[in-house]
Amino acid sequence: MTIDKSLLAGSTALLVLKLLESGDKYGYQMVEELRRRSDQTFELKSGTLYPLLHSLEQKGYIEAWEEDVGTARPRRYYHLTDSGRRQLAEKEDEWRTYAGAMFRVLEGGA
Amino acid sequence: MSDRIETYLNIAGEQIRWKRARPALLEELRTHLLDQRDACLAEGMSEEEAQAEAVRQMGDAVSVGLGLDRVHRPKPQWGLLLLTVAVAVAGVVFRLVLTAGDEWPTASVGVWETVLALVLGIGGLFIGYFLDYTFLGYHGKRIYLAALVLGVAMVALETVGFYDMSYLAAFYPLVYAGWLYSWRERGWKGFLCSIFGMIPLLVVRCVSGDSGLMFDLLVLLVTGVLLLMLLSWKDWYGIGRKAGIGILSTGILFVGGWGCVRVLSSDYMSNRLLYGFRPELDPTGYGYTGVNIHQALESARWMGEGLWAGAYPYEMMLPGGQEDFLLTTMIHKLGWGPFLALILAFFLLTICLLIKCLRQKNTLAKLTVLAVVMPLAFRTLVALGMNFGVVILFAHFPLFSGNMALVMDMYLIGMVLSVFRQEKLPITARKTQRTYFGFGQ
Repeated sequence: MTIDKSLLAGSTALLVLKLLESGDKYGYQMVEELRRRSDQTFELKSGTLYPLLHSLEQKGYIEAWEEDVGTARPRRYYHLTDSGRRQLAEKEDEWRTYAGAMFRVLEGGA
Repeated sequence: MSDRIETYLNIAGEQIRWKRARPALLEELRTHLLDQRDACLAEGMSEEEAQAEAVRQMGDAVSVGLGLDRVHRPKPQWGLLLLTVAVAVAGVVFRLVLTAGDEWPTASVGVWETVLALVLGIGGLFIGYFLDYTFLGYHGKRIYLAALVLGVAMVALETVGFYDMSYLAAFYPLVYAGWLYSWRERGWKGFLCSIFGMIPLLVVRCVSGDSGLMFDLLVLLVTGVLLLMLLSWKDWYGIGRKAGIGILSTGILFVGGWGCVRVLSSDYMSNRLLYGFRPELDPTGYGYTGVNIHQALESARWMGEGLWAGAYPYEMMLPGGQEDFLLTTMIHKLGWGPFLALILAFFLLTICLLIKCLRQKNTLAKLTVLAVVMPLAFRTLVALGMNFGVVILFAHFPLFSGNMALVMDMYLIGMVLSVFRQEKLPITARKTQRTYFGFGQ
């Protein structure tokens, strides 16, 4: 099922931070993993991903590093910092509260 | 070979106005596109189809470029540049005014040399400001070795005189910061090499002894330990935060305790400490300068020259009043008012630098700024202490005394401002290939 893009827009940062929680990754890997973990629901456009990653980096939530392998294709890995972990926990809580309330309304409680 | 991909990157690149940020950003996009293309090729597409698909998945080149352009923009620091120049000009004017006249026992400060130093300093400020400071991170080890070789050469040749070593040593905290940065994720080896890397720098500085030696050693030690603590806190070496901080704290206690015992057990050192704080106990020996400074300050007015009650003129009694004790001279000759105005301007500059320094998120940026601002702040405190009569360590007041020191200070401040200007530059820490959380291709 395709979903309205505006639904995804507000929570992309949360998804990106969550993806990095399990280990450092580079951009392409994140797009692929998100697609796989969301059963093809979330199609993260790479063009959206990089400006987002870089702004998260400037806020100090993630840090970039690169393997020094000489001629091989250089990959810029992203690492979740302590401050990023705190931000992730906060955003997750926020999201759960929001989703819970949404469900209650949708399921038509009294 | 990758025509479509290169065209895409050209279009995206054109949207990014900051040229210095462009190569790193495009490199990342290129890697992504090539990975995507390879995946499509593996699925059986032709090269042409695979490239088209990779480009399609990336999204519109113009909006990708604009998105990156929004995130990466230089932040000009004109206000702080102007403030630095203003403080330096004020310092030079005061220095020339205060040291003019024939009363001084040695030749007065040369007008042309001082003006030349100011001009060179302003040049240095802008060179530091516009240069790319990230070379410190990418060539940390090479810069470290070069600084050591230069230090050894200066000591061995002895042609430049020992005094000049303190100028080179002023860069050592920065050199050490680059060295530390180069050991990312190198485990215990990296951690130990980082710590022990400080020793050769200390030794080279120690071999040439002059009055600034103790100060240089302390600055390098204190700044170095602070940087090490910061990196251990971030688990820079991959040995765990607790292990890094624990070992460092133990080391600090051990070395600090040993240092205290050494100072207290040495007559020379403990005298220097005692008479530094109580100069009146030895007014003709260790405490001579301190006593004269106290006298000058006690008789100073808010505005205008204070009354001097010494046996000889002020200039004769405090010859260092031309350079090292210039602030004392300022208070004595012009009054507390002008002194406070200048000091407030200088503190405003230092506080702005410190606040902006704490806001830096990038590790290299933080290390670079701390390695300059910490010694600067330390020097300010020591020089202020000296000028208030606590003569234990010797240091130039930043931007205020010494021609060569002025040029160097301005270059270093320019470098700090360059870090602030390039706050939004994509910087990537490099690491050699090793297993990283069991992850990697």
